Amino acid sequence: MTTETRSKAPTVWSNIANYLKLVSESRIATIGLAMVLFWIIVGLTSFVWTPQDPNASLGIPNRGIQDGFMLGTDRIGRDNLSRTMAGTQVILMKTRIPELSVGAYLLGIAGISAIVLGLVALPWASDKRTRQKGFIGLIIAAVLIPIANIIANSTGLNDIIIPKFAIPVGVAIWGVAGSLTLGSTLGLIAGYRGGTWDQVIMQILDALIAFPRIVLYLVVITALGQGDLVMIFAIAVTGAPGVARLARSQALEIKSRDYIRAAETRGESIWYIMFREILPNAIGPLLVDAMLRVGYAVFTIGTLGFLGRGLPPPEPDWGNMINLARPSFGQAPLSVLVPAFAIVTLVVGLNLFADGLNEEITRYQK
Amino acid sequence: MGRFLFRSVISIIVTMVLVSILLFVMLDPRDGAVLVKILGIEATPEQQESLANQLALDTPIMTRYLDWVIGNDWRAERLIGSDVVLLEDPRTGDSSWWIDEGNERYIQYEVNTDGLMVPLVRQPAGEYIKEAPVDLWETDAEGNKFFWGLDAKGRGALWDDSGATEFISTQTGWQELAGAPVDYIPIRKGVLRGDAGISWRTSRSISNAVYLRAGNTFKLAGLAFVVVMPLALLFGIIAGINEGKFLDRFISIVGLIGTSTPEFVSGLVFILLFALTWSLFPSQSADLIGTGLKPKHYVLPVLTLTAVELGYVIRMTRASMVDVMKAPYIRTAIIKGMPYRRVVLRHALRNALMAPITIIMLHINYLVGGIVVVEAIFAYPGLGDYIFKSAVFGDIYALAAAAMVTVIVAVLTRLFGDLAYTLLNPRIRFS
Amino acid sequence: MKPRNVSKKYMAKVHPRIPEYFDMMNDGRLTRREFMRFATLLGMSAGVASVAAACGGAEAPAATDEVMDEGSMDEGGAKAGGTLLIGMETSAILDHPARLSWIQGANIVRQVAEYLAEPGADNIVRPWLLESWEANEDVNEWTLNIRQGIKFNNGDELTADDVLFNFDQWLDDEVGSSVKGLLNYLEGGMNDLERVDDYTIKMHLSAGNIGVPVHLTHYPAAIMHRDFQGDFVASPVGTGPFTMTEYNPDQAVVMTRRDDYWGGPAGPDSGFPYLDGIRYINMDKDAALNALSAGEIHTFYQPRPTDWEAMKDNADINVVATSTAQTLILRHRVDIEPFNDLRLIKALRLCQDRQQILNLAWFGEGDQGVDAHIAPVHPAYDEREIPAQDIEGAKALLEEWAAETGNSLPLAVTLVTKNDEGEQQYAEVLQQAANEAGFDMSLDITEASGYWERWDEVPLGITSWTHRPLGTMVLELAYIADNEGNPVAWNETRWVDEEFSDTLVAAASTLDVDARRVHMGKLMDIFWERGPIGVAFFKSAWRLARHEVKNITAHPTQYDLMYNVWLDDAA
Repeated sequence: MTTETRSKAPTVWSNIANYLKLVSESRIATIGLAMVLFWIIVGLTSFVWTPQDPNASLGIPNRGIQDGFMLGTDRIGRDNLSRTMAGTQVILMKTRIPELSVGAYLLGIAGISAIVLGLVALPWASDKRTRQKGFIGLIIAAVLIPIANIIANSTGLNDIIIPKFAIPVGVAIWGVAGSLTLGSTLGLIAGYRGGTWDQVIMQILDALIAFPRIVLYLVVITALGQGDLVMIFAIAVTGAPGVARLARSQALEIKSRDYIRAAETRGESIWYIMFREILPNAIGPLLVDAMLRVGYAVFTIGTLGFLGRGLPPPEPDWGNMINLARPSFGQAPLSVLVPAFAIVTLVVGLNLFADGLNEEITRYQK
Repeated sequence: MGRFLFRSVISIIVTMVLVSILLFVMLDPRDGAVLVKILGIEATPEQQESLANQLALDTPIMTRYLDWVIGNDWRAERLIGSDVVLLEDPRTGDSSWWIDEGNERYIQYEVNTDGLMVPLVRQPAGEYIKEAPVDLWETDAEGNKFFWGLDAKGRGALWDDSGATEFISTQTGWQELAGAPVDYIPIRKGVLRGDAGISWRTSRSISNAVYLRAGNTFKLAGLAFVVVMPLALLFGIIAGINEGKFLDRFISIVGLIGTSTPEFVSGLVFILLFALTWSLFPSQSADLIGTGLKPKHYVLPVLTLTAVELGYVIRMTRASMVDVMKAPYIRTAIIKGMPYRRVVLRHALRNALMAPITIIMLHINYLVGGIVVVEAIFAYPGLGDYIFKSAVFGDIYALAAAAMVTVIVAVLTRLFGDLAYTLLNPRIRFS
Repeated sequence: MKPRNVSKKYMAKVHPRIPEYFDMMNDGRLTRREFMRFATLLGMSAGVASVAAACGGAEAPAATDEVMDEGSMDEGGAKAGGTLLIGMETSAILDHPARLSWIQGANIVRQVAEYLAEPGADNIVRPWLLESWEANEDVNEWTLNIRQGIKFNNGDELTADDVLFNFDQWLDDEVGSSVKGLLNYLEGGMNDLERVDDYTIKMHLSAGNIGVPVHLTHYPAAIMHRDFQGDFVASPVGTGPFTMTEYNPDQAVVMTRRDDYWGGPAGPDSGFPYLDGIRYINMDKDAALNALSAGEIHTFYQPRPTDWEAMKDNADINVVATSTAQTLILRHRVDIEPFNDLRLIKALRLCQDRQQILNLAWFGEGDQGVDAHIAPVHPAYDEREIPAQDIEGAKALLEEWAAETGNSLPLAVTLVTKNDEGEQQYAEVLQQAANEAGFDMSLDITEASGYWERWDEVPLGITSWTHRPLGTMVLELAYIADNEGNPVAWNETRWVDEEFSDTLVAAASTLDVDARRVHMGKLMDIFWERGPIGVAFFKSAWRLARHEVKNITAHPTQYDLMYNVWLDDAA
C-alpha cells in the first residue's frame, strides 16, 4: 500500500477486502482459515444433520467407539460426535434470546441505544465545535434507561412475554463485535483527542483491564446470571480495554499523517476523521486482534462451562461436556478428548489465521 | 523518576477507586436473587426483607459502599454512645465486635422476653457470661422507647418496643422471633482497613480467609512463574533468532497448542497420567496443612499452569527478538563482522528482553486468572478457589474482596513492569 | 450378656404392643426387619430385638452380624490405629449444631458430639446416649433414660441437665433449630418436659407420636454441653469418640481419638474408636474421586452416580449400596390449565419406562416406584406391582381429553427441571415417549439454582426430594392443606384430597403395623388413581471406600458413623 492510495481515504470495507487478499499469500493464515472454516461448516451442518440426536440418550453410557457412535458416548449415552458438532452452534452460529417480557426488551433496546448514542456523542463532546451537541447526546443517553424503566413499569409491558428465539451468529462473535465497537471508538477518541480525554478514558479502561479475565467474567455472571446475552456482555466488557489500547496506539501513529492534517484543515468533523480517515487504516491490526479475541472467547466460554458457569443447557457446550465427563475420564476418555479437540483446534485455527495475517501485513508495510 | 512514580501512584489509586465502585455497583444485590440464594426457595417476601435488614441491604447503595470501603464502626459508635472494639476469639481465631466499657469489660446484649437487656460479658477465653437483666431503654423525641447496642453476634442493633420480629431460616421452615432488633448495622472496619466483614457462605471472616488463601496462591503462582520464565525466555529467544526456520516453527506451534489447550483439559490429562495411572504425584493439593509444603503437591498444578502459560511468553519473547534482530544497529553489527554469538548475547538480548518484561508483568494478571481453574481442578485452597466458590454461592462481599486483591496484584505488577522498563530504557527515562 | 431367647413377657414389659408385632412376624405379616424397626422404636434394644427376631421370625434365622449392637458385632480382626482421610466440602457455616442445615457439617459435629439415639445405616434407630426409652400405650408419654457414666471431653458427666439444655436450645426460637419443627407435639415447650432425676426425663406429648426416637436422631440434634454458647468451633465439647484438634475449613478439619471415650453402648471395653483420628479434607467431589482413586483419601462424602459408575469395577474400592427414599418427582400444578385435568399427568405416568429411566438417570441403582411418594424402604410399605410403560393407553387418555375439551393434539407442554441429579435424563426419556403419545413436549432445563427459584411455580416439572426415614413425613410436607385449607408451603402441586389427608392422619397415628400398612396402601392407591405426581424410581446411595477401610457403612442420609470403623493396610 502506498501513501497515494491511503490519501484517498479508503473505506473500511475496501481495506478489509485488501487484507483478505493477503490470506491466500500466507500458508499459515490459510491453514488457520481452513481450521476455522472446518468448524463453521461443522456448525452449519449440525443444524440440519448430526449422526444422532445430540441431546438424546440413545447409546450405552460411557462406551468408546461403537456402531452408530463414531466417537463414543458420554456418561448418559449421548453421542459425543453429535454433541461436539452441535457445540459449535452456541459459540459461532446462534445466540439464544430467552423468554423475556416486552418491558425487558424495551430496557435492553434502551440500554443498547444508550451505549450507541454515548459512543456517537462522545467524539462530538470531545470536539470544541460540537461540544454542546455531544453533551446533549450524552445526557439523553444517560436518561434513556430510567425512562424505559418507568415506561415498562407503568404500562404493564412487563406482563407481555415474548417467547424465546435465536438470532444468527454465536456468542463469541457478538461478544467480540461488541468489544470491537466499544473499544475502538473509545481508543480512537483517546488516541486522536489526547489530553484529558485520553487520560480519563484510559484510566477507566485501566480499571477494567486490571481484572484477571476469568475473575471479571465470574463477577459479571454472578451479578447478572447465566445466559447467552450475559456472556456476550461479559466478552464485550472484558475485551474492550484491550481493543481500545490497540486502537489508541494506531490512532496516535496515524493522526500525525498528512492526510489527517489535510482533513483537519478542510474542517472535516471529528466523526469523519475518526471513522473515515483513521479507522480504515487502523482496521487491519484491529481485525487481526479480533481474531485472537474470538479465540480467547472460545477458550473462556469453555473454561466457564467447565466450571459450571457457562452457557445454559440444553444446547451442548464443550466446556460443560468435559466437566460432565470428568468423573469417568479413565473409562471413557473420548468424552473429554473430543470436545477438548474442538476447543483446541478452533482456538489454534483462529490464532494461526491471525498470526499469518499479521506476518503478511508486517511484510507489506516494510 | 519521582514524577513518574507520583503519577503512577495517583493512577493506581484512581484505578482502585474505579474498580471498587465497578465491583460494588455490578454485584449489588438489586433484585433479591442473592437473598433467595441465602434463604432458599421457601422464603417469603417478609423473611427476605428481614434478612435484607439484618445484612443492611436495605440501606442506600452509597452507604453500603462506604461501609464496605471505610467501615461503619464509627457510625455504630455514635449510635451506641460508646466505643466498640473488634476482639479475636482465641478459640476460633475469628473476631467479633464488643462494646468497650473500659477496665477490660466488654459486653454484648440480648433482650429477654421481659423486654430487658441482658448484658453478655466477655471472658478472656472468648466465651461470655450473662449478667442480671437491666433496663437501658431510652426515649426519643416522640416518646418511643429505643436502645442501640450490640447483639450476641456482634452486630450493631436497634431494639424498640414495637414488637418487631426477626425471621430465622431453618431447614424445616421459618421461625419468627419476637423482641428482635428492628435495625442492624453489620459492623466492619472496611476493606481499606483490612476488614471485609463476614462471609455469607462460611460465617467466618472474609479477610482472614483471603489473607491465608492469597498466600497459598502466591506460592503456586510464584512457583509457576519461576518455572515458566526461564524456559519461555530461552525458547522464545531460540525461536526469535531462527525466525522462519523449522526450529522456530516447531517451538511456536508447540507453544501455540499449549496456550490453546485449556487448563482444565491439560490438568485432567496430567491427573489421569501422573496420578491415577503412574501414581507419581498426588492428584489434588487440598490439604496443605496436612501434607505440609511437600513439593510433590505442587508438581501437577505447576505443570498445568506451565503448559498454558509457556506458549504465551514464548510468543512475546520471540516477537520482540525478531524485531530487534531486524533493527539496523544489529544488522550493522553483523555486517561489520562482529561474531554472531556476541551480537546476540551482548546487544540483541538486552533490547529484546525489554518488551517481554512489561508484557510478562502484565501477564501475571493472566496467571492469576488461570489459577482459578487450576485451583478448582486440584482443590488447591487458594484465592482462585475462593473467588469461584464465592461466585457460585453469590457471596458478593467475599467475591468483591478477593477480586480486589487480584486487581491490586495486577496493578502493582504493572507498576513494577513500567518501572523496570523505564529503568532499562534510557530513552523513556528522560521523556 | 446376650440373651439366647426373649420371652413375650419381657417383650410386653418393654412395650405392650411388642408381643403383637412378634406374633405378626411369626404369621409372616411383618418382615423381620420391620419387627426390629418397630420393636426398637418402642424401646426394645436392637440387640434383644434381633435375637427375638431371629428366634421367632418367619424368615430363616438371621445372622446377627447384619445388626451391630452391644456385643453382637463381629469384631474379628478389628485393628486400632491409623487416621481415616475423608474428602468432604467442609467450608460452609458451622456455628450452632442445632442450626445445621448441611449434613457435611453434622458429620464433623457427629465425631465430637453424640445423639440420644443412633440412626443406623439399616434405617433402625437404637438408643445411644440414652440407655433406653419407654412409651406408654398411647405413645404420648415417653421416658428417656440417660446412660450413666458418660463423660464429656471436658470431664463433666452427661446428665439430664445437659439433655434439657439441648431441648431448650432446639425449642428456642432464637436458635432457630429445625428440630423444633419435628418436636411440634411439645406444644407447651419446656413445660412438657419433666426432669424425673439426674438421668431420667419424661416427655409429655400433646398427641401420640411413634416418631420420637427418630426425631432424636435428626442431624441437628447433637447433644452439646450445658454451657454451650452457640459456636461449635469455639467450644467443641461433646461426649463423642473424637475431639476436634484442628478446624481449618478451607483445608481440613482434624479429629483426634479420645482415650477416655465411654465406648458406646458396648462400654469402654469396646475399644471404640479404633481410629487414631479422622481428617476431613476440604475438596469437591471431582477432586475427591481422583484422590480416592489415587489412594490419597480413604472415602468421600456422598458419591454421585457417576462416581459410583467410575469406581464400581475398581479393585481397590469397596462399594456399599443402600436403598433410600430419595427420589425425583414428576409433578404438575393442578391449579393451572390444562393440568387441572388429572388425565394428563396420568397419561405422562403411563409414558414412563421406569427401568429405562432408572438406568439412565441413576445407572439402574435404585428401586422402581409406583407413582406414589412412598418408598420401599419406608416402614409399612405396601408392595405394588410396577406398572409397565403403556404408550397406547396414554394416547387413548389424551385423545379422550382432547375430544372432551375440544383441544387439538399434539398438546404442547414444557417440562421444567434442573440438571444436577439425573433429572435431565428422566426428562429426556419421558419426552421421547410423551411425544409418541401425543404430547409436544419441550424441555426447559437449567442448573439447580435456576430451578429452585421457581420449583413450586412451574406448571410441569421434575423436583428432587430427599430421604426421610418415615413414609408419612414427606406426605405431611407436600400433599396436604394447612388449617385454613390452603396447600402447605411445600405443596408444589397444590393438590389436596380429603380422603388422602384423612388417611394420612390415620396412618401417622396408627401403631398397629398391619393397620398402618393398610393405610399406606390406601394412600398409594389414591396416588395412583388421582394423584398429581409420577414417581419412576427411588435412588440408591453409596459408600465408596478404599479396601483397607473396614466395617464402614453406606448411610441413606450420608451420616458418617465412624466409631467402629478401622483401617487394615495389610488387606
